[in-house]
Amino acid sequence: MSLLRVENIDKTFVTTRALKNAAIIVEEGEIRGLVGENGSGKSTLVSIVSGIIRPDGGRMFKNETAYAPESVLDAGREKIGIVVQEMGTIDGLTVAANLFLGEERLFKRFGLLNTANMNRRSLEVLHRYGIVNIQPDADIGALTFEDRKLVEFAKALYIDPDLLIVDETTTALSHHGREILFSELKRLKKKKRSVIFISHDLGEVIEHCDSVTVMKDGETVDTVSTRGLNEHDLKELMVGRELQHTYYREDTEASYEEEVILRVENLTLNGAYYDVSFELHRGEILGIGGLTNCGMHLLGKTLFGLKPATSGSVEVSDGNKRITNYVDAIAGGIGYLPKNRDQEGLMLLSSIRENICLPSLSSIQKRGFISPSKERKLAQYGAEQLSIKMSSINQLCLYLSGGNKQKVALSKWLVKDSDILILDCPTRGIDVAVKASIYGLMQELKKEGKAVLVISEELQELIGVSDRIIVLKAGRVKKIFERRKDLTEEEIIHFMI
Amino acid sequence: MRGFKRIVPYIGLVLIIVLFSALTGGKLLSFRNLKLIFNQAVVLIIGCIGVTFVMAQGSLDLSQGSLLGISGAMAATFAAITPGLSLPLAILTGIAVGMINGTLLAFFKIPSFIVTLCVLFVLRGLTVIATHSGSIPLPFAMLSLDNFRIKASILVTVILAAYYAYTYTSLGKNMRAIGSGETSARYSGVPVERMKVLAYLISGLLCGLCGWLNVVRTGAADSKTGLLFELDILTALVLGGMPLTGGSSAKLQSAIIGGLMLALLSNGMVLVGIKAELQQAVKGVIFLLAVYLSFERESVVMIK
Repeated sequence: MSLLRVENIDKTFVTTRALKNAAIIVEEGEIRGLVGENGSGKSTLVSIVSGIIRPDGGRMFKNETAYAPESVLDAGREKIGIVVQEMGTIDGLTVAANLFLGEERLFKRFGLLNTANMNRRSLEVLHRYGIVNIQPDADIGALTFEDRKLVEFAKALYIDPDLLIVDETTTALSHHGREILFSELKRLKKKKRSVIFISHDLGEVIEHCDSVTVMKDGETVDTVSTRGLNEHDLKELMVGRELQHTYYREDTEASYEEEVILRVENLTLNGAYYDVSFELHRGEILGIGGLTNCGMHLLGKTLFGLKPATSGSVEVSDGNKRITNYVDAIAGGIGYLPKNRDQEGLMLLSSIRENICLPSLSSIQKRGFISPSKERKLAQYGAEQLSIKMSSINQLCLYLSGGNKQKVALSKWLVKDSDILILDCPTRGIDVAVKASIYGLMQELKKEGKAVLVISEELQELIGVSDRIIVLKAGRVKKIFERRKDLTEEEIIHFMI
Repeated sequence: MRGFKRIVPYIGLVLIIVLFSALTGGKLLSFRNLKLIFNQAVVLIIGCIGVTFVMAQGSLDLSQGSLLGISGAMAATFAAITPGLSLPLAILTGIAVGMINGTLLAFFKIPSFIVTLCVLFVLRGLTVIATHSGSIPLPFAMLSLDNFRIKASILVTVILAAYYAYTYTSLGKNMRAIGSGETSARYSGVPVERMKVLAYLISGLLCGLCGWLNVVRTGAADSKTGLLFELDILTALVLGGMPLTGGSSAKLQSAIIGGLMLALLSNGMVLVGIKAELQQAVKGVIFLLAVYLSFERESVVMIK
């Protein structure tokens, strides 16, 4: 008998179809992985199962009886618990209060809450799951993100769930936290309980799950056993066709002109990066890699004049201008694609036209007058160049897909004809097709003699596109690799950690 | 749906005209009354146009009421020395206050709501001092300036200049960009701080002009001049379809049509014989209703 059966679930947010006919069956005592690219609908599906949101259509059954939770509390009564991807605890309350949120009546007497009793029970619960470093009366806001996640985990566990859902939590956990998590999952399995486990770490999924369901564009496309499955096969299932490696550059040697276009000398920003020096050449794609917090993202902001350095200099060769603010940076021919697309890269409440034209307004104006037709032409040109999928250039960016948003964010610098492009995680959260077109674009820019600086957390990408790769570790340049055929991720990782 | 929203203010305008024409037996549109409405609308529309530049950025300017008072007081005080000084002084006062508002917001990072509310209090105090808790009469000769032609040409000039700056220059586009997403606008090269100060400067300048127009019309600067003017402006703008969040859907037309609507509404209520106290209450309810109808709840989380 299946523990949970979900059939034909649909869900639409405003205009985005998040789920189409999604279906999943979880057996008793099964640990089920749930994987898929960003935006494929994983979180939406489990939010529906756990009562956080309600579906537009479809049916769910638990132990073969109809199940339609109206809230998380409903789901809890049916013994379905969830650890969400985002912050699931409430600031300003103690650990114990968070743990027993909604269950306070257990400790109530004559209308008064017996806090001491609640704290005692909390300590028991935490210890039961091997969490010994957290005090029940501590303010939850004072805990680290990892500890807060563990509290959430304990909260989901103590109701003794038939089904536990863990949504992309492991990235927030250290080795110790993961050990706790996985040993508890095993214990649940032994007790014939079930788990749905979401993670982007495919290796982790294959190791700890019995089977895995793959989602793509809001549909559940396949469910396979993890026995004998490898990461590559799973990736192929996720993108829906055979992975091609050809979207990377085909040449295997570094090539760029001698002319230096951007010079960085002894750049230091206390607390972020130290003593960084390099030269960027015409026709070069320069990669910068490292761990998320190695300082590379802030370095990108400094190069564009957004984050003043403590010492050192950034100079564009065109007139030997020093860059100290973003207005100068743009005037010096630099364009910047931020990592955080929705907050920094795009004005979501403006149209495609307005977004594309904004940096170029100064060049299309004539004695202060900006002709609407010139503006339209520029935006049309930019949108066509990158084949942005849209109803018209007057469409708001809010409703574009991630890939198309990224194209708009890029387009504004292309129509500006920037000589130097700083791209921070240019392919984050976008699908394979757009990825390929962005890599293609980078090579075109290279051919035109422009320079591209790619900051990325994906080593495969850096190896695939860069002429040189600068590796940062704790804010310092550890190594510079030249492009070569046999460069491997392992070799680079060695210098990162 | 978007197209429909755009014409809602026009429908509202027609409804107000039809309603009050019916209630007053056509008196609303009599020549004499139209002149009254025009007088009221001039100041309101110019004030609204100024605030439009601020609201396009998603900020508020609540200092208008007292600014109208203090710039009027300045105009009247200096008119006693030389009538020619009155207009420049009123406008300079507005510019100075706008600079202070903008600087406190842009460089000291105090929310615009708080900044302009505090400035509203401070300026009201100064207005009371400047008028010695009473009123300052204007030299008799200046009363002739209160004529239709002068006011109409000022209004048309302001509308045309503002429309041009707002629609066809990088100034207006940059300001709307800030309303659509401040960080993204900055990352696209918009000098955000400068634009913020500029917007308040424009708003202050035009309010100073309003102060002068107002004192010329009434013939004296009073300690109570301009009370609640800031809320009239806000109500008018929202009635005209201005989104409180600013951004690319903020249109200058909102200022004109909204100003006109509120002037008609206030005048109509007087004609119908609604008591002054009750008029304020009605305006409050209308404001709330307009916000409720126009607020885009979905997009508000995306903003600040």
